Amino acid sequence: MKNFLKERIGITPGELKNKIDEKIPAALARHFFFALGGIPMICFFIQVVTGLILALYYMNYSGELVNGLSATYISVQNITYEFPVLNYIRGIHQLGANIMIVSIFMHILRVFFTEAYRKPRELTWVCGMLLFFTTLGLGFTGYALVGDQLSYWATQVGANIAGATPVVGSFIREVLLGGTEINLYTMPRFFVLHILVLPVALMMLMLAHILIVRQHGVSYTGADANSEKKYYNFIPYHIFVEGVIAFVLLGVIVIVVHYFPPTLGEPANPFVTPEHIKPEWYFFPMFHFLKLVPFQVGILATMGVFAVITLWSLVQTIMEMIVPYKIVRVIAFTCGTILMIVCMVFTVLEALA
Amino acid sequence: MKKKLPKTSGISGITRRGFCRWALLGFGLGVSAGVMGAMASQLLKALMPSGWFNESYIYRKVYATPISEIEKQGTSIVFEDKANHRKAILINNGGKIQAFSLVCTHLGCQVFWETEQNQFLCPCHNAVFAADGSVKKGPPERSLEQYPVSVENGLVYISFKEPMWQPEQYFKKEEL
Repeated sequence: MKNFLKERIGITPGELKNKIDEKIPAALARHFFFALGGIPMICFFIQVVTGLILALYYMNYSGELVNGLSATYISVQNITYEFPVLNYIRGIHQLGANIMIVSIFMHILRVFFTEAYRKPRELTWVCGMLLFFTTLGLGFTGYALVGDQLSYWATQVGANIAGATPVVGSFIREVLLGGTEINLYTMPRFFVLHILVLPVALMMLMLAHILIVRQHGVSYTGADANSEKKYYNFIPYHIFVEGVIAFVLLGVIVIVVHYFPPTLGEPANPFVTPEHIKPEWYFFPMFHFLKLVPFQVGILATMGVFAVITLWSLVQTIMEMIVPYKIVRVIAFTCGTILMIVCMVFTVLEALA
Repeated sequence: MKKKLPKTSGISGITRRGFCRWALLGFGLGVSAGVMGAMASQLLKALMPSGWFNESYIYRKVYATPISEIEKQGTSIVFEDKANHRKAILINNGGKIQAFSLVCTHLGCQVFWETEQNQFLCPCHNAVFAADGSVKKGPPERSLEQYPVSVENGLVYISFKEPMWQPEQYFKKEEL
């Protein structure tokens, strides 16, 4: 058998194992906070499977089908209330997305405050931030597909925010909406973005992220980092650990979905904006910030912050060449803490508004 | 008669054969770039059937209401035609009949007309517009879009500004 594979694909299972095996610091198994990167990936697999099933029943024609309801809305209604198991699938998909974003947040915070992004791991950070924004894009396009009031108005507001980008704004908006306003060809675009373009981008970024992480080894900077030099193997132990996490996560998600099944709001009405329109919670900080400052200022400031966060690892490397590391460290921690607190305060204010 | 080029002349030396090879390669690259460009432009065209960067809006005159309904100063009527995505508010501002779009100029939410306060309120970011459409409070930078109004034989018409390209017509298979 070994020879059979060796002759045909040029590698035996044993050699393959040695190739992809990796030494993981033993401390990771005990310090959960240092192993958060795996959860978004597990969530992504959950999203792919549940998303595939949902896509079999979803229709992206937003024109009227019957009684003034769109095909989109009716299909989501059927998924939510009519067919067996599908409301669980939708619930898992919805909650999985939220858990994915929460775990990415926590992963980012851990990496930032343990400075794991420092040289030579700058590109891992950049790649990770791009992964984060792609995930937010998936959240936004997914929310737009539901076809109820909140979904419609979130699309409208989101497209207009994208449209306010200097220079290329109107171009992005037109490509996104398939015209100057939301029309029949808007839904298919969001659908294709959500199920094809963004997931493929996410997979490629994920691959790059993991390859770079493996290149430099997992960064562990816990208190016992220097004293402890024990490692365990990626195969089979780490895969087993991730498997256990996946099962526990899935179990928790199913239980939560059982007690809080997904619901569907009023059908989209382009003529009435609901009194309390809000985006998904992870857009609260940006949404609230836009309430406080003039529009263009808000857009430019948000993009500036995004750009700086994405390139922060490189910015810090350059700063370290000029300023002593101790000072850079203080600057990084201060900026990070301020941004985190501002985001949290804005989220709370928006939630209470 | 042409001077025969030496076969090679150091690092920068070019043989006739080498020159031909590079020229052919350059020509080939140029042609492929042109073909690729043409194909890319067609892909961009396919991405936007309504056309890029053209005048994409048109005014369509629509009958709204008899003048008697809006003759009194301060009255307002919301005109709504769901099938054709048309909605506007008619307001008699001191004898002058004006029509406004109800789309907030900030992020495109629908504003409400508050009769008692005589103002428009946007629920998204709490923007307030005065009865003449101007910004009173909040993040918008432009006044509400005003539609031209005409009165003919006692009937009020609103000229709606609409996207020229309406995909519905391709589903209904009829002219707008």
